[in-house]
Amino acid sequence: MGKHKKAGLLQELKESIPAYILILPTLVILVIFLFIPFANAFRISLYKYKGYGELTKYVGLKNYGSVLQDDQFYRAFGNTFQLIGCDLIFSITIGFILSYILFRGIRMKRFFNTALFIPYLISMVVIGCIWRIIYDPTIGPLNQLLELIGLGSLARPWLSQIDTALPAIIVTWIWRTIPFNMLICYANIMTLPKDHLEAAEIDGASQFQRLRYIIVPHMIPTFATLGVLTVTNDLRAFDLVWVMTQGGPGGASDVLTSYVYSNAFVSQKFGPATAASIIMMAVMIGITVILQLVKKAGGKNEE
Amino acid sequence: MKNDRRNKKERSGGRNQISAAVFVIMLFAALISVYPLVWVILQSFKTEGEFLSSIWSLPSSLHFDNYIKAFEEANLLTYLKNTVINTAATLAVDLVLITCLGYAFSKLKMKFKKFFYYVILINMLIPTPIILLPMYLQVVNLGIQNTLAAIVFPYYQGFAPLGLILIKNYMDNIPNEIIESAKMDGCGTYRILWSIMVPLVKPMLVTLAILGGMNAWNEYMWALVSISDTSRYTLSVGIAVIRDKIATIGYTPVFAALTVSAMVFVVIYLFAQKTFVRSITAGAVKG
Repeated sequence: MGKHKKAGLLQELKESIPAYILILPTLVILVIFLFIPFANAFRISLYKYKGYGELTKYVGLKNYGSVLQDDQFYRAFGNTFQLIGCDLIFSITIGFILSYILFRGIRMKRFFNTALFIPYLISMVVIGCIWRIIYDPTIGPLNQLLELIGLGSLARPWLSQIDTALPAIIVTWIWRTIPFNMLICYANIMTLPKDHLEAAEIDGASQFQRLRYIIVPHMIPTFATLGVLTVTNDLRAFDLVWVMTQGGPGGASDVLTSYVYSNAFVSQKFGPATAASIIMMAVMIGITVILQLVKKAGGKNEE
Repeated sequence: MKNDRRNKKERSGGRNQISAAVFVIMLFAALISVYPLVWVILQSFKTEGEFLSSIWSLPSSLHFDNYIKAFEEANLLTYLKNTVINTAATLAVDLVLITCLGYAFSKLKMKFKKFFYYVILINMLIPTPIILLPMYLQVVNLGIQNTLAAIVFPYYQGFAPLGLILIKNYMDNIPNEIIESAKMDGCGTYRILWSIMVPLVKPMLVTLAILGGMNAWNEYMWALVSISDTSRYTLSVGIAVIRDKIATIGYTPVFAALTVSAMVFVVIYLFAQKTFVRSITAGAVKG
């Protein structure tokens, strides 16, 4: 009996050879460039390490302790969640409203469709460079505009003030993410069966009622998807922050990824930086699990 | 009856006002979306003096000097060339290997298929910063720092999970009968992949090329960490370097460099809007 099973497995493995050959290159690449580095990350997080040479100074969990005692870590954490919160609220809402206006029809629809999507086509690095100039205290268009319309008293060095650096980055971030949310909302709003809307119109439902009782419920799964994408994408935020402020001034605009990056590659504290990134991953996985559970619970309620 | 009609008229009058207001709001939104880029483009054609005297004025004539300066003095040409090479090589690896993956997972017999599928997808849960330093050490260990391999494989590694999900879903919708009948005709596994599957999944390959291309072209963090040789800098890393040179080369060449960097995907988008939109919509799957 056991022998039979073994022969069956061998047969199955033999039949799988063509498939294994096709996935082998990818597996090799993943082992070299993902799994080995990933395992090493856990090792490095237990050592005091300067970024070169052998790992010699074992410090146990001390790196984790020092990260969890670092106020700046919590600040970066808070900043990341401010970014996520604002992005979830403003970017998805505005993206949806724009897509709804386009869906209802408007003059020059093609123009708006194209123009509103432009920010998404520019990379975060280039956008960071452009907006850094926009926020520039002297030649920056923002301050010059404020002076032009008589609000000169509001002009300030946006990116080098502790209380405005992070909001300025968040505004730029939202400016870049709205087009994506708009596009996805638009694609999904278009799948709404036309006869549903027509039937509602014949029944005398007002514009607002149709929005409230037909379109928004239809869009809930889309909002859920965009929410998950927003959270996972924003947790990784780095490019824009690094180009605009490098987390400054004085760490006021640090997010998780820039915190890890500057600890590792600027301060050469690789042990604590790696420990911080592992804590970050634990949080990410925790959030992903929670989101999946919420989704499951939500799905049950709908049934 | 009469009253009814008047009501309707009044209501439609209100509606016109509302749609006029909506139109104005949309114009304002479009202005905010497009103006920063338009402003940068306008400045790129000015002389430094023109720019410094007024940031709102239009260029008096089209000065291409800034572009020449950006390309030659600020190394924009080198950065651009490196980025084109990196992106092309990454795309070649992306498309070939992801097609192989899709075929293996969607159409072939594979023992432990589920296990291997999740081995590839697990990457989506690992944030890049974790492997940034160990991957860098790995690249140094292998002696491939500053080579194409040190860029292409990490980029492929990052893109493979999304690529696999997309192409597998796409191939799952291709009926198995096509493959069965090709087998009857005596086609081998790899022959079927190359001459039957590849033509059938072409639209998905275009999508993958756009998504993977944008990924590779725009990537910043890994390029910043791993490339130490300035002559191999990518556009992302290089543009930030150019921006920091404002004090020495002036503002307007920086605007020229920003214009070139920003316009690449804008131009592709304007020429292939439908394909582009379809691709980005397809890419919006959560892991």
